Amino acid sequence: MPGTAGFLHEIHAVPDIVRPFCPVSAAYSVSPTAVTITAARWSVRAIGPRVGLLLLSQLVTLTLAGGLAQRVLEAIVASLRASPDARAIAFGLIALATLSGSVPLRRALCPASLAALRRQPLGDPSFAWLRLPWTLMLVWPSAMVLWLGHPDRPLVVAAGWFAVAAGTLGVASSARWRTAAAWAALPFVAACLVDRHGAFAWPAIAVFATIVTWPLARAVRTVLEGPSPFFGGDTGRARTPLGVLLGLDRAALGTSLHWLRPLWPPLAGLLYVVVVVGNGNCRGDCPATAGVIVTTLGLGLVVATLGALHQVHGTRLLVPDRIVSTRLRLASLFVASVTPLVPIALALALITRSPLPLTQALTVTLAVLWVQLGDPARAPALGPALYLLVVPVAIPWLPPATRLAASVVVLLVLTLLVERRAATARRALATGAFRGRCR
Amino acid sequence: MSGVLVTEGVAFRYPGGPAFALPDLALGPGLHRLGGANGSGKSTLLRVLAGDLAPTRGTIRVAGRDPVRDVAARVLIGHAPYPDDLPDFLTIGRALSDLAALRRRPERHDEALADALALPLDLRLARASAGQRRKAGLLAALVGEPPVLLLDEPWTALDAAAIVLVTAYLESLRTTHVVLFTTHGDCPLAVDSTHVAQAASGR
Repeated sequence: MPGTAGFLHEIHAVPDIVRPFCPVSAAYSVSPTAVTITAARWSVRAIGPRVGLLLLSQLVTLTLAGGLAQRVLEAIVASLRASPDARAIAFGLIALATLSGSVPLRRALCPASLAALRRQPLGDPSFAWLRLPWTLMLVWPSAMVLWLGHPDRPLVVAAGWFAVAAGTLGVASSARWRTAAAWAALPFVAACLVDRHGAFAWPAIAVFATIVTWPLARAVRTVLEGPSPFFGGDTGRARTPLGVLLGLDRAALGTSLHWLRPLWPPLAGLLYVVVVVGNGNCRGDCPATAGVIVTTLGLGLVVATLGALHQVHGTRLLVPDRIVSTRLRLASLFVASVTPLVPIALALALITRSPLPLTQALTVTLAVLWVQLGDPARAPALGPALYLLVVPVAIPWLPPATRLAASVVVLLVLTLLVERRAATARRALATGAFRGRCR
Repeated sequence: MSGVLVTEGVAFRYPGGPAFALPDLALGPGLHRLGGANGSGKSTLLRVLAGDLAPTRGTIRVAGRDPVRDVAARVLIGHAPYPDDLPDFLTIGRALSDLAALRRRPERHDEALADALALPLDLRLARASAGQRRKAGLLAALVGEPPVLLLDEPWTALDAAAIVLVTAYLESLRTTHVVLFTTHGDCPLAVDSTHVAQAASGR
């Protein structure tokens, strides 16, 4: 039993029925040595790598609040060309970091070794109280921030510290994204009430947006599971083989919407491009370059989409049926993978008045297909794909027409590579040699 | 040799595994049993005949066409592997209609048989029992009315009523279809021919 082994072992050893009535005997008592070791381990955990993300964000906050990096911050804000509120950005990033770190937080604050405690007659509130001291230790930089803001109001500092700890504990304990978001909002809502600064409202708005996405996600799932308006549903008019395969992928993607999570980087990039193009700070070749870079941010979305298809189809990804030709399946996989990115690329193309985001979306999808068809185990690394993406992304100094021509050449080469790799994989499948996830 | 399903010197070998050899066949309409001990390669050889695996050597012809190289010729073969390979996330009806559309045979003839087998078409395959999945797999092999049926353990996991029904249905195909099946238990059908799959390790 890792971590709190000694401490927990003693507690588990006490029979449930006996414990409330019997005094702590020598056999079942928590020895001072065990407590010391446990405290030391938890102290290490509180600043350990598992919660590094949260700690880092809090240290950034501390630095910003102390005015220690004012010049750096001003330079970064100026380079963004969007004139944002620095505090709003900082607090938004902290909320995002807290949410992103919910899994390592849960591992640190509610490790598997403690899960058995939930079966004890302690109850969830007692469990939370048990964890609270460690959580307070974990969020010490927040207390420092509060102290810097309100050095003469100890009650506010204490209440704020408690709110941050409670929110962090809530995030760590939440299995659902929405619940975690609500808990992450708690410190900022408290700060809104106490500090009355508009910057604190931004994380609350982000949380509100997260909660709003819930019915949106349900709507997306309904659409994915229902009959397609473009390719026909379960019944009705005759469907083409391509339509059938797309319907199959649509149904597969509808089983879980986790693949939509990497949607936020290109979406945030799109909003940023809207701002900088709108305020006139991005002119000339800048919009086209920004559009290509933001479309490239959709790489994660394409990887997640194809990964979700891999997960659901399993061994039958490339050959869902033996009568399906390789080219037909490649076409359907390509369309299914690129579709989530197309609306963003289209919007970027319209805003930047350049076709480059569209060609870039196709390039990104082909590159991901090429990597994943070759060796699925290497898909998360994406090294080869990123290498290929460098070509169109790193040529902003070329005239737009030349860039477009270069992108088309890259697209053609990638298409050839993907087709060859898929044919090789199909041959390997037919001979029983392919042991990857495509079989 | 003449017949709807003709094979010559067909063998298959997984990389690093044993080789499986199939006796030469020239099958016309009728009920044919592929026999052999556990691990002798019966299921693998059915997959080879269906075009799912490419034979290491030998030739296969279905109505004069090569299902190994000609993907379209595989429409002539209905294959019911065991366990089935239908997608878990679809309903049985959706899986069958998808297969029909892929074979460009949108008209369905399996509703009556599904009713007789008491198979709910709106049941998601992930929630289907082993017997229901077996029935769905058999119906999937019949999609598009292929002249050649390759059935791997068609009676496995079926209840008594379904065994009787499937047996009667296969009997009705005796004069019109080539039905090649494997079975481990007692065969409830009088077969026209029995072929033994041979395992030939080390070749």
